[in-house]
Amino acid sequence: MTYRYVVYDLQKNFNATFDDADFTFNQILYWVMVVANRLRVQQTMATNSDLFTSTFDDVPVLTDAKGRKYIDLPEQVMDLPNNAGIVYITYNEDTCNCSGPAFAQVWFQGVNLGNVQHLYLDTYTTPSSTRPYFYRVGHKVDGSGVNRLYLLGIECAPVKSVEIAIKCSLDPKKLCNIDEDIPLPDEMVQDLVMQVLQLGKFIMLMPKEVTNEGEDEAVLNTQMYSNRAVNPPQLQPLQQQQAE
Amino acid sequence: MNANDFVSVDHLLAEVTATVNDTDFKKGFNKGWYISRIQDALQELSFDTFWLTVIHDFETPENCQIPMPPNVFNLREIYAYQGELCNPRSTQVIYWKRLFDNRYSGDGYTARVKDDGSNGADIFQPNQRVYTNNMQGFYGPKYYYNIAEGDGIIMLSKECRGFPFIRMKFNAMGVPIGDVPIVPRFFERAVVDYVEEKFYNAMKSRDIRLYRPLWQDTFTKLTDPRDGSWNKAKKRIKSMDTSEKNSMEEYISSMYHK
Repeated sequence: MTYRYVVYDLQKNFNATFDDADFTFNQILYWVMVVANRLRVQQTMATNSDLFTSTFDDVPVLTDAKGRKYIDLPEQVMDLPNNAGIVYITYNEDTCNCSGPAFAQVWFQGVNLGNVQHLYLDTYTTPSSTRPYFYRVGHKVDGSGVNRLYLLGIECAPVKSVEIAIKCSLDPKKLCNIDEDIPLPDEMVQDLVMQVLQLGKFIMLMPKEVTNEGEDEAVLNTQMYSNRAVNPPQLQPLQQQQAE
Repeated sequence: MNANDFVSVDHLLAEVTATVNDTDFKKGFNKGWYISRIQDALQELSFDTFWLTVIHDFETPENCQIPMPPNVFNLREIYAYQGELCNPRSTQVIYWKRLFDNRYSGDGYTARVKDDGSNGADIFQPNQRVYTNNMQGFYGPKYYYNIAEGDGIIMLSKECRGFPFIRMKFNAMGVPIGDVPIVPRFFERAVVDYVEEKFYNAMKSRDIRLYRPLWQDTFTKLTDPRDGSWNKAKKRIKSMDTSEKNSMEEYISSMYHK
């Protein structure tokens, strides 16, 4: 199912309901990607499949001003518990092909930045080139925005690049072709459409809610709310009389 | 029982991580943590069963002091010998002497009971010299040792200098910390259960309602006195080989009939 197909369908539905609203194609496309990102995380948590995993063969290892080795993540990564969005990082050389791929032999294990010192307490967990680790710095380094993975254990090893596999998020800025397939299972497109419609409906409701009509007894029109427990439908006049 | 068959750490990890649902090592414990627990298990089994023995040979030092090597406990046997390291000859058993202490120089020593007559004025302790000296010279157990408490130094009597080499047999605490653990197949079940128990024990502090029942199950599986894997491991390693048992029975049954 392509972006073009789904977005045009949504735009048509919005215009049918809110005929005077101005929903642009790009706006709906943005909503589609926002919702798709959430659905992809939910799907990953539910199935733990590698449907959304991407591999990068040759990610260069760089050194920062303090001599610490790191890589820049080529894509934004899903923020899953215990760095599960990073499937593996391994040396970029299959040294023992007969025993399987490199990532099955030596892989960088994830650790939280605050727990790095804990690794050095036990001989069996101390980082080394055969027992390497990574930790993530995803916000800023010295005030500059970064999306890095720092590598531990290869301080003295001449590693120029690594191979990584990550579970990526969708970046609206990087969508170049709306005829690409939406990276979601087909059975989830219905959820995607429903949630984008809900989002649009909520956004259209907001301006009306905050309108100051200048009357103390003004009753807000809350019929659009789907939560009937909070906003029960108004009673019919006959029922009101009986109730009184 | 004796065997020369071992299981690899990866073999154990494959089972443990599958059982605790951590095959991708993303539950907060890295691979090294699991290996460290395997080492712990073997260490505990070593203390409980004395299953692992190691031999160390030393050149006899001039001061008669030999520091106990790392990663060992429980001195089992100690000999002095002549010849070469790979070919001991003229061996002599070295005995333990209670309260013997010759630290520092190796020549003079203190002890409640002395064999050199230097406590001749003691009215309570007999002068052992009369028992260990006769016209032909010394006889009796002049080769002895004691271990300095706290220091772990094996102190040899000065007569041991007559032998160029000392051989000692210890129990070991598994492999040295940092080495890859070597696990006899007798212990596979016990080690797997031990590591799982430690995993769930650690996870209790993260989510006690989820992990306490799992820990309880594993703890029982490990420590049950009747059917627990730990007790089974102890019984297995302490039992005799059938050949040993047969020889022992034959020896005992015939010893009073010859």
